[in-house]
Amino acid sequence: MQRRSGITLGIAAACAAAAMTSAACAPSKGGGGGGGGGDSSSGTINIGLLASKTGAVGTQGTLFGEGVQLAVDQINADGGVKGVDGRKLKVTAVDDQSDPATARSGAIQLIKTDKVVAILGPYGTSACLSASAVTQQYKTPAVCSAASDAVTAQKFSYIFNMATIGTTYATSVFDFLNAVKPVAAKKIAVLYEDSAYGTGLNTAMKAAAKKNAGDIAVSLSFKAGTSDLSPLVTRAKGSGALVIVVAAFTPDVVNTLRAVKTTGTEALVVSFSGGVINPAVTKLGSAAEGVVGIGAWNSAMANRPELQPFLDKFKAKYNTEASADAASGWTAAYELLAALNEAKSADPTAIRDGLRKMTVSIGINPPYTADFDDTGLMINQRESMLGAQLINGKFETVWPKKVATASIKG
Amino acid sequence: MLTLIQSVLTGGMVGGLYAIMSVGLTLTFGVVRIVNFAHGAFVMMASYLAWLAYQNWGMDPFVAAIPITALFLVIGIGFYVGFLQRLSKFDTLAQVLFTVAIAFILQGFATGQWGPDPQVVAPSYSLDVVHIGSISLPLIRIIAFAIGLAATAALWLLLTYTDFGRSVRASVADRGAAQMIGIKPSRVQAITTGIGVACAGLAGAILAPISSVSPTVYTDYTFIAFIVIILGGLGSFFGAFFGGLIIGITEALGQTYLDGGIAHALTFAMFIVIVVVRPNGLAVRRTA
Repeated sequence: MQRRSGITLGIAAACAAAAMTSAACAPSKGGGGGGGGGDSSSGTINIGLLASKTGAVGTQGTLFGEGVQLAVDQINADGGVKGVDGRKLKVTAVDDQSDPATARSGAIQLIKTDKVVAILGPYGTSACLSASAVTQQYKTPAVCSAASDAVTAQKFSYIFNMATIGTTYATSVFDFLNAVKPVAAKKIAVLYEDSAYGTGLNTAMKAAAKKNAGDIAVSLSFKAGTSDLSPLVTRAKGSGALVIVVAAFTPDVVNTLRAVKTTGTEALVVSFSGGVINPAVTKLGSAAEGVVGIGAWNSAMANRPELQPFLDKFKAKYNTEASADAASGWTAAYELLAALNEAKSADPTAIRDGLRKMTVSIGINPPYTADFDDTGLMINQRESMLGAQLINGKFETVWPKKVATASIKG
Repeated sequence: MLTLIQSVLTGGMVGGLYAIMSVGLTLTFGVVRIVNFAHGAFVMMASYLAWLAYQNWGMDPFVAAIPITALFLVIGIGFYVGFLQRLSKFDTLAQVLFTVAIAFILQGFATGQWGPDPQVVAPSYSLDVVHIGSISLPLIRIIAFAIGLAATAALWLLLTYTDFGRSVRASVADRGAAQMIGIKPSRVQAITTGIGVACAGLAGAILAPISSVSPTVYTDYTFIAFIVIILGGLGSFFGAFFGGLIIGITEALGQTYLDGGIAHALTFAMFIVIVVVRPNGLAVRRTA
């Protein structure tokens, strides 16, 4: 009897645990009204949102999803998809928990159960790589956001990547250094976390160094979430590096910045996009002062009038400032709208072809285009890059000079 | 040589934090005989409380550690009375699944309440460094290590020189015999669970200004604590203490002399060697 009770309790506990992990996996309905997964019966076009709400890139994935939802609300308010009889978009969202396996099962669920005609997401390299095999198999287009060359290098015809990739980030580090501190490009240390994101960026940094006559003095990996990175920073310092490039997510960037200060390391710290241009970094105070973020977005962009409608609407809906990830989600939804209008159909393969052919001018940064090349990669990446430095507790654009809001310090 | 000394000292300080975290887990296991997979989640919740105290009232995290530890003592006793006491009658699988479920619930609560964003506790002295000759050590880690060491020493004194401590040790050594000589197992188990969770609370509070606070950190803490207590010997107080130091120092040496992936593997390689050579852990004597 007691054993049976134990088993019952075990099953109950397992269900509770499973519920906690898969509750996020269950679809949550959003966007315009209408029911049912099919698009023809309800008059809506059912699209999937596959992005992390939890896990390592939960923050970024959440913002990506909010950007998508904001755009979908706007598209529906503006009369829906005009190329497909003005039908409204309906979003079915799945949290992939920053986990590749969950991203894969989430993609299957969206395509097979929820009958979506296209997926926006996943956010993050590992999740995107994992889901891309599913979207290819089921011939359903996905517009993901992954900072890695590997996604489109697979040459899958149904996957599109709208994020800045590792090669662009790495090249931009040298563009930035050669513009503001040329000598530093000759002495670089790379600290990278050991997931696909970090290792991809490290490989890209090595290749970019060769092309740009730079020199990587030392390249050191670490397990994401390592609480004390001072031994690695000490090694970077010992290499004589003038710049430490950190390829990692925010918690590891925070720990690196602390270690840089406590080990008395003078090197300029450079990291990427939302990993460093993040409230957690600014809250570090003096430990973060001077850190540089390379990416297509920073908070100084709030001054740009052409972005005001998006920024204002995002703030009004979510009561927080928009970020690069929010802008990516917003852009992805408009790319899908352009593809639907181009395809004049909600058929997944027609949408895929529409994504290849479409031309839009809705990017977040000059030259304001967000089209895809033949491999499915977003074009004009290098031209969109900015360098932002934390100066007096605020990120200022310091590169390129023509859009700079401040001069680089240090 | 200097690099080696620096690395050992840095690793030792991290290890001290691992130790206080793991001592709580091993004590609970030793007395209650339940493997608490929610231990790391308690550490995470304590880190969040320290962050909230810092954020809302500007309270120093080391000062906040005092009420947080006391609060977690009470929570731990409640955790035993409400859950573990009933759970002790069931098989190991049910116990494991139940504590894992508790961990998921706490993680879900933290994510829902404070979001997945990492939070930062940065008191004014967080970047101060103490120089000893050519060795430099962050002040905040020295303070955290000292608190962890003092708490561990206090716990050892409690276990060694008080009637309650003798009851605990008797319960760890032979629960049946302890009961026969009049020790009330539920009382001892409740207070020991309280102390175990209080250790998690203390560790979480003093970790807050060292590492960023986020809902996902607990998995790493739980994992580390389990490696430490298996290394030291399940239920062994000193085993957990020295196991913590060994893991901390091994991690630091790996980061100093090896590449990341190999450095990470070094901890596990060392763990496997010790488990093979001494299956009962470093601090537990072999029994016939």
